[in-house]
Amino acid sequence: MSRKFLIPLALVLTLLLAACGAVPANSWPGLSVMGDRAYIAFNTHVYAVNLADGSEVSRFPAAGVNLGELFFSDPGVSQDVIVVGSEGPAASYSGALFGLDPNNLNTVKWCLVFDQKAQQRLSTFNCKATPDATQSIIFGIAPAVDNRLIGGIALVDGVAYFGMANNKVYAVNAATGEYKWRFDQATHPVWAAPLVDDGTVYVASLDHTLYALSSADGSVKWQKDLGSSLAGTPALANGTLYIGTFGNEVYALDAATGNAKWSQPFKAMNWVWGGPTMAEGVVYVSDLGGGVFALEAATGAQQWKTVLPAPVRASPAVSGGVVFIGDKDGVFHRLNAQTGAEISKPEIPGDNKGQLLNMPVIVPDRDLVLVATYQGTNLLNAYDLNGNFKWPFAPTQ
Amino acid sequence: MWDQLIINPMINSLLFLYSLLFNNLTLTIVVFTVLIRVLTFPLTWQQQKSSKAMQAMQQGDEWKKIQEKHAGDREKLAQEQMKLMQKAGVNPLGGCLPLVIQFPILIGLYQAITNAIAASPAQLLQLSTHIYPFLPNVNKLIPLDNQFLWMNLGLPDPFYVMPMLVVLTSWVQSKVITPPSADPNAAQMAQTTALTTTLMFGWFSLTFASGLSIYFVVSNILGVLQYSLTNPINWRNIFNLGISFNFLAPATDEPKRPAREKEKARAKRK
Repeated sequence: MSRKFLIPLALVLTLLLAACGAVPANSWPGLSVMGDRAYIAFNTHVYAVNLADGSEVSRFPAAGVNLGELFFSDPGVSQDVIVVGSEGPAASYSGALFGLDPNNLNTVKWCLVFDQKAQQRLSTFNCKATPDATQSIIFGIAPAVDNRLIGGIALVDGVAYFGMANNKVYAVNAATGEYKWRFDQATHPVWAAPLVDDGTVYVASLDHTLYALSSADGSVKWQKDLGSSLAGTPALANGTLYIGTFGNEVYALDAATGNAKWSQPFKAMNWVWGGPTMAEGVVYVSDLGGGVFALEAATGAQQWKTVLPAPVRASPAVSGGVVFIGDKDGVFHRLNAQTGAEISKPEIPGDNKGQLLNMPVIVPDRDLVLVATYQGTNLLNAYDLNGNFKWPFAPTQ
Repeated sequence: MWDQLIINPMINSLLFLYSLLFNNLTLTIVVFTVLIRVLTFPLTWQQQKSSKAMQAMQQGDEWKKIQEKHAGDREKLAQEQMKLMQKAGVNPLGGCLPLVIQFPILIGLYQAITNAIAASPAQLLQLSTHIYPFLPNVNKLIPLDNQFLWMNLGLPDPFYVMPMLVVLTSWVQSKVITPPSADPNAAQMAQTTALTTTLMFGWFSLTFASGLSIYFVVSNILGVLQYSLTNPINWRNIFNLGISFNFLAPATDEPKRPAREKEKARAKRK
């Protein structure tokens, strides 16, 4: 064989392997609303956006500064603090949790790290560390633990609850960043934000299990293996939890015991990734087959089904008799909540529609529905509840 | 087209094997690599056969005569070499073509493993679009169990054991499949290629998921075993590094001369 060809071929292979394996971002934006601001986390920054006109109020880190951290989780929001999780630079598989000032995100109130890599990387912030951050070190080398914080954060009664890619669930004092407890019995990552209600933290894990933990100390109240991965936050209404699985099923479980409430789970067409949404006794769910379903909360009987032309990862949002939902092809749909019929498809502005992978956030008192885009021209688009476009938010570099 | 022809069949085969092999991802990667190597063996064999014929021709008297005769005229030398290759029925691209055909398979395998490990939500969403709906119980397999010994197969090996194994096996394979050449330029080129390939895969292993490193190591070992089926392996050549830092100079025994001259000088002084 002509060896002159080998080096160019090796270089071509290198480029192809590197290029073909690249995924532009690890996840889609995280979005939360409090008061007159939306907080959106995506890639290198977290932004506070004015809901009146879409202008940027502040960002973390400051414009032009790149900490190397990547932000994707839904921020936990309160009047006093915005809690947001991060992933370290690519391939570091490290993460951190930041408590930011809601009035100026660039003021870091505290930060918490989960491993030594993050401690060194974020040394300027003087971060606190969880007890397991320094454990299991062999010859000074940390074991291969995926400490990324991917899922959203539930901030309830001054405590931030969140799961991580390291299979653990943590509770942290939201005012100070002090570690309270951790739960480490899950065997796969937790990508969904926990649901907290009446002293119980409900955690959906990719290990197929829904855990009910005591919010006081993280002890297990009950757990239920549902046979397939759970990646969405459960919905809770009238003592019943509703949750979808990658096994194309939707379950209704007794929130006190974990026992099944429907005679059999509802069968969707494909993976149910986003958590169900409850509105007026109806459970709305979507699946990656493009299916949007309305189910009777008491029995799981299907009221209607609409099949959209693209996969639906996001949960539906419901308000005023309208179901708002985005699909993977970047189309924003308004469906009739009674029948499932398409009312309208409000235009996503910009040359690149991106993918709509987040649950739309409805702000009823401002007559707004917020739609975040993944890899679109705008990071955030605001509409009124009739679907009329109000403003875009595209952060300046 | 790429997804339909290469990626989807590979990912679904990988998932199917995973379900058969006790949900053990390491075992799945090993068996999958063996299967791919067996399927591409005719291409590899053709490449090795062509390489051997070329090597035999280059060691022949006629080739050496041409080299000496046209040492100062590279264009003429190339023409004469081409004529000789045509006469001997050796295609200069005969070794390259099977390698080029194998590239999409290698890239596909790399993508299939990366996709199947799916360490982030975006990757898992991507994986969901590749899965055949008729594959039995596949939804229950997700996410794949990526723990093996001290490693998380979705992350680089923190103790650098896998990168070291990748470098070692890549080096051995490079040396095995490019046997020593009588032509010093070709020998130098082969040396540089072996080094480049080894460092390239070492870097991949340091940077990417350790599941891929398992694939690299198994693939390299199988490459050596496959070569040994058709050719004798000169182990002495493999561990004779012979690294010359002057990449423009031919790889000869030139560096030994000054030592010999020093010895002669010492003898004269005595």
